[in-house]
Amino acid sequence: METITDYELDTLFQQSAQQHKAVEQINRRVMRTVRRDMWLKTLRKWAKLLGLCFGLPVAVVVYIYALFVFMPEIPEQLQIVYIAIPIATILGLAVQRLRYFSPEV
Amino acid sequence: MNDNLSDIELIRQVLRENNPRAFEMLMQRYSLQVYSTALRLMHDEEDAAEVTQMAFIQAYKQLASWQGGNFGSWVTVIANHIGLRLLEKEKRRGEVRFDDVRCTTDLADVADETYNEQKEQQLQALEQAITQLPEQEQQIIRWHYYEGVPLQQIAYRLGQTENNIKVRLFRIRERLKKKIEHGNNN
Repeated sequence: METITDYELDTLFQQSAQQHKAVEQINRRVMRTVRRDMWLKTLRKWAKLLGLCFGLPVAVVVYIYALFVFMPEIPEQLQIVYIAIPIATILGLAVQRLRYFSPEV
Repeated sequence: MNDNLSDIELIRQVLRENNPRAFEMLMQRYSLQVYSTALRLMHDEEDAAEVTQMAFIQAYKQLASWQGGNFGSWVTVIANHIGLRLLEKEKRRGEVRFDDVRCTTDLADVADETYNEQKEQQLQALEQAITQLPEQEQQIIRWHYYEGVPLQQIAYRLGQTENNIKVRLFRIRERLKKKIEHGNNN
């Protein structure tokens, strides 16, 4: 039967403590990456919300303003295109949102 | 945060609440296990650290695709894949080790030690033996050997005499030795 001496046990404790230290360093480095990623996710979420709250109304106002200003000056066929494009865009976005909609997120 | 939360509850917290502490707890639970596996594969402490780090980052990025089961085993599988891929790359490159392309690491104090299978088995036996001790004895071992707390301070913290702690430590060591010897003979 192989016996463990006090010296060997002390060496094992030392090596084990070194491994723990190495693992703690790994944990710290991984957590830095994870925290940065989570922070970016939160930032993106808020940016989306702000874009939705302010960007969308601004885009709609600009579009309606442009409609009133330029509509009388452009030919009739182009007027239809001018109206159809944003409607198609909005519908497309809505369909896309609904396809990827998840109540959990 | 509650230490007794299950893996699945912690993963839910990471995914739904974006809670970094939950992922940290998962890492604390399994990083030593993943690191030991990586060490067995890579036979080098720096490479094992690199593989472990990459495995946990990949696990975090793919957390939504985790399909239940043991989280530690899942990350270990990821670590194995990464390790094998690195070894394959290293082999293809011939003599050039991937130290040259590795991100900077700060593990100088644990590097330069060659891997030893028997040593690794004894270390695992020691870790396991420590976890089988009663909570207070585990604490004494952690304070004294892992955090370098002097016996006098431990005695003060536990409200006992230094001699008492010395005797307890001696007994704990004898028990640990027996368990490691037993582990070696299995």
